[in-house]
Amino acid sequence: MNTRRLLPIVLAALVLSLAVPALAGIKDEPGYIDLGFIEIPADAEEVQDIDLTSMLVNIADDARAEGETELADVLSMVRSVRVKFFSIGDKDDDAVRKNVDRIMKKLDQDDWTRIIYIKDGDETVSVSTKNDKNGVINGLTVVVFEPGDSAGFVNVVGEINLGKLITMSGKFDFDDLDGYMEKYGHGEHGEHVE
Amino acid sequence: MTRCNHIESLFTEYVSDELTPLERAIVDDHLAACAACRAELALAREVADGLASLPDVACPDRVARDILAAVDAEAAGRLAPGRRGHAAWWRTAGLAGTLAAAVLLAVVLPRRAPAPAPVAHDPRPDTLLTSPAQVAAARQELLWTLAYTAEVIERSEQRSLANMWRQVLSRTPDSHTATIPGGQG
Repeated sequence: MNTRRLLPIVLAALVLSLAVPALAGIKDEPGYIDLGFIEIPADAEEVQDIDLTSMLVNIADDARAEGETELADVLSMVRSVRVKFFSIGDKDDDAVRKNVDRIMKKLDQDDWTRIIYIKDGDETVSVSTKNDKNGVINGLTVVVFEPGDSAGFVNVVGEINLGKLITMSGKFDFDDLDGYMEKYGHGEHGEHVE
Repeated sequence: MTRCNHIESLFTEYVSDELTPLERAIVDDHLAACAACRAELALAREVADGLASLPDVACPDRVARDILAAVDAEAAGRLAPGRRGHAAWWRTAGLAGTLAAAVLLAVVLPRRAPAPAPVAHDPRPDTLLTSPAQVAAARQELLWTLAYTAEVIERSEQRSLANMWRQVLSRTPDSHTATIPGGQG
């Protein structure tokens, strides 16, 4: 094997050796909630499976380079952002409900603070924070379960300035997206309307 | 609804210390940077103090029923935008993800270069080797996450408010009945 072919392998091994301990460290963070056991139904029509654990630094650098210091500042202390969102059919409800129950139980066991909790039948909406003894938020977890419709799980790990994060998020008005979707030709169920 | 309007809609609960820690943090953060809202808050405090000095008056049943019906209609309308089912907004959030991120990138966080086209959301293995395209895609995913989280919180606030009114008004007829001289009703 010549050097030219060996070099990429060496680089990959080096990257892995750096990345694996970093990712392992995330799992030890108090604000970390395991979403890995949540299986997305194979027939889900819509899926958002997001893991930005290793990309946040790049995003923050990119934002800062473009003068978006607010976004960069918010991201500077965040270590991981993971999302699983998917549509579900009625037959998936039981499996998803078990996942929701498992996470909610974990949040209770680990003394997370529920800042929003709505339970309407099986429908569940929960937003929880993990606070340290000084009140600093080290984690944010969102759980949404709409039986027969969709489920969403979000876990943000790291020191979070919640007020600033939500203020910034508030700029993103999903009500407006209905108009955008119509404008750009996306129908109600996500299909592209020609 | 503008950001100021949204913040002002929370002033009544803010003054009466009924906001959740999250809501209070949102309001405080906004107030720190908005003199107009600080002035509105001062006015809200005056109104709250004035209202607190008024005597309690029982609410007539008919009024309570009308308000309850209006609250239900308002809540149904908010949770079922357009002709979609009551849960459709969650679905919309997911469906809109890629498009939303692209639109938000273009509208909310203007870039020097045009926003990249939406990308497929295949789970990506963790890697430290990143190209500009990967960073742009990750940024879109981040913006989707922010928008989704904000939507969850905002909708939850609306539902909590509707539920609170429903509970308050559902108690009103009983209270009213109890106050009728002679125990009628």
